[in-house]
Amino acid sequence: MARLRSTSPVGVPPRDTSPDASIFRRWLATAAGDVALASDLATGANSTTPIDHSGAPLGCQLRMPLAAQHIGRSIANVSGSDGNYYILAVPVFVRAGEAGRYRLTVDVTPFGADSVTLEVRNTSWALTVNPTPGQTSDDSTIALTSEGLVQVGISWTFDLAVGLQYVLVKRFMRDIDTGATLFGWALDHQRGSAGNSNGILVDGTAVQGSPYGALASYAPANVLEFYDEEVAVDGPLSAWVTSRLNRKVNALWEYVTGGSLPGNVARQISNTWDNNRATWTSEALLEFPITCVALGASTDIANPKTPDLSQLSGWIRYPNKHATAFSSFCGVIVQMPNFRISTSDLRVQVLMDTSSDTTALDGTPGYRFDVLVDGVTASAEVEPVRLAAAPARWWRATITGIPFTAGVTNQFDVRIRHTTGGALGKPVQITGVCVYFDP
Amino acid sequence: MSLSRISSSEPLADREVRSLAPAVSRRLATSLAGRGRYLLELLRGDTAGFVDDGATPLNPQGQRGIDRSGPPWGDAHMHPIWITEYTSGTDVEGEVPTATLTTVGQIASITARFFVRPFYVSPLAPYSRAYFRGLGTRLTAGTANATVRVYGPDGLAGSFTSATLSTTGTAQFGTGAYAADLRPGWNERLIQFELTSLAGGATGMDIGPCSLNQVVRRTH
Repeated sequence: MARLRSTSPVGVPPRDTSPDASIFRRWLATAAGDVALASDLATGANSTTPIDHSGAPLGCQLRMPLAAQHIGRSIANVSGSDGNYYILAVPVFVRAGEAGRYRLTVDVTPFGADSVTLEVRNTSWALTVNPTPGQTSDDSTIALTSEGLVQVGISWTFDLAVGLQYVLVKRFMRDIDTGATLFGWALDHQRGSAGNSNGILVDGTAVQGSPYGALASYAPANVLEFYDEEVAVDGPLSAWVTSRLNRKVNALWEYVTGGSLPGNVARQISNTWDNNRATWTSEALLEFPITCVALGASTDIANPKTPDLSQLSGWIRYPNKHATAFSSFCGVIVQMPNFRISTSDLRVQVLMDTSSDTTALDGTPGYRFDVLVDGVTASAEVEPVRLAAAPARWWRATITGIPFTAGVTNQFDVRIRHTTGGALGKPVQITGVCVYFDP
Repeated sequence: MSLSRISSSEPLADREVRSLAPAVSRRLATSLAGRGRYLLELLRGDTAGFVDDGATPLNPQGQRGIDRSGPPWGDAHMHPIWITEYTSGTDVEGEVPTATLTTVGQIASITARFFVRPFYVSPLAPYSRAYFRGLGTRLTAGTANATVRVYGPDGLAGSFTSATLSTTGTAQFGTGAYAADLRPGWNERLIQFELTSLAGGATGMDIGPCSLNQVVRRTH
């Protein structure tokens, strides 16, 4: 018996279903085949490339917000001289199919006519967006914060490519600006509108009861398949086929939309949560951003071991000695999606800057990074790599296979250690972290 | 609207497809054959390869297909939409708690500003709430108690939800605090932390890290 399944959507012309059209194989076989194709696309069953939301025909893009962080830290320049500093330097991960326009907003205290520019760099540290002045919010949107400080927003609309890249904001800082504060930042798609309420359930009447039945669950064990023989030319129109096909479509409808059938109050199948529903092991693993975290500025530190004397001392982060035990430098607590936990695709990217232009990070005491999850389970530790050939001073560490618990709150501590102890030589400034799934 | 292939969103009841049921061909055929096309459009994010206008409405993003923003546009994904960062590294400079409370009754306020994905706005839609998660660490030995309040869109003039935390070390706030009535687009919510009691020699509490997260259940 040949399983009915369209290799690509076939569809049924309107004339085949008009009141007096002859019933049968032409539309019924097509219906069974197209529904089987839809089922395979949704679940990845039968060796079908499943939708992964990377854009048509593999599904509408997700366009998740990439970052929103409250910082509330002083960025006062205490060096005694004016200068340009990166006040934001973070890795950013963009999903496949979601290259395009993005909008970055940075909230700070007013800065007069001083320069604030955005730049974007790729993994070779080459500029992909040249330094661009930001647009300051109108006076009408200047707001007092809960700390009583005046806050203005600077925003940029710019292009990001797919994959990993680095977003940096450089600001000219005057040493007399002792109240300079960085309140927070956010990064999202540049959206033409916030969205509306297009719906496919609303029919203008109050729904009562649930008259439409479906399979109890949409799982491999009870998903119905159809075969050529069941829809043979000149065969009878069998309720065996129509009722089963209807129940399959009803269940698939709930599986795909996450909602109840139009006309039903209650869902007929059990809840389907997030990606990688347990019974469908071939469903697409999604590239998925979790969050980006800004950790500190990048300064031309002459002596960062004494924070009170270095520039932007309220907004820098660095190890203060060569400790061979791990020490946390970034902590977040977030709700994780229901993604695969065995052979986890969760990654953390760390961006760092060293004042050393010519040697490996701080010479011989090699750095190592890992992620501790819920204070218990740690990922494998990794070494950082230089982003561009010397004398470039920016480095990154890519921590992969990070364990996590799906569907619940997880606490992540990103940590650093050294392979040898001793006094601090040329320390590294850690400027940002990105957490994301990259299967 | 021009369609080269039929489309339907109408389900059939069991009684309509059973043996000896009246064979209303238009309803039977349109539903069984048309819903396959409808689902293919939702899944693929296009007109399913047919050269016509498409049969499905645009999703809340203004695009075609399910975008996993909550029913009926697919199960909504769990994900954080706003964070504060903090950890207590011993050998790293530069960590500052989200807030530090040292006097009973002291209140620290922060404003969370974040973007909510476009979603189908309906009562109790998954994306209409963002659940607060956060940690508190007591200062010096003893017990410290704190409350977090997440206010609604009207700020202090409106209602809030809250959760509490009692710890002799580091612990999570309860799960009862959430930002309600979120709308697609930019949202702002006032979050307050209050130190409610100290005992056994504790001298205060460090707050952080924290986050607001969307979708803890399919609907609330």
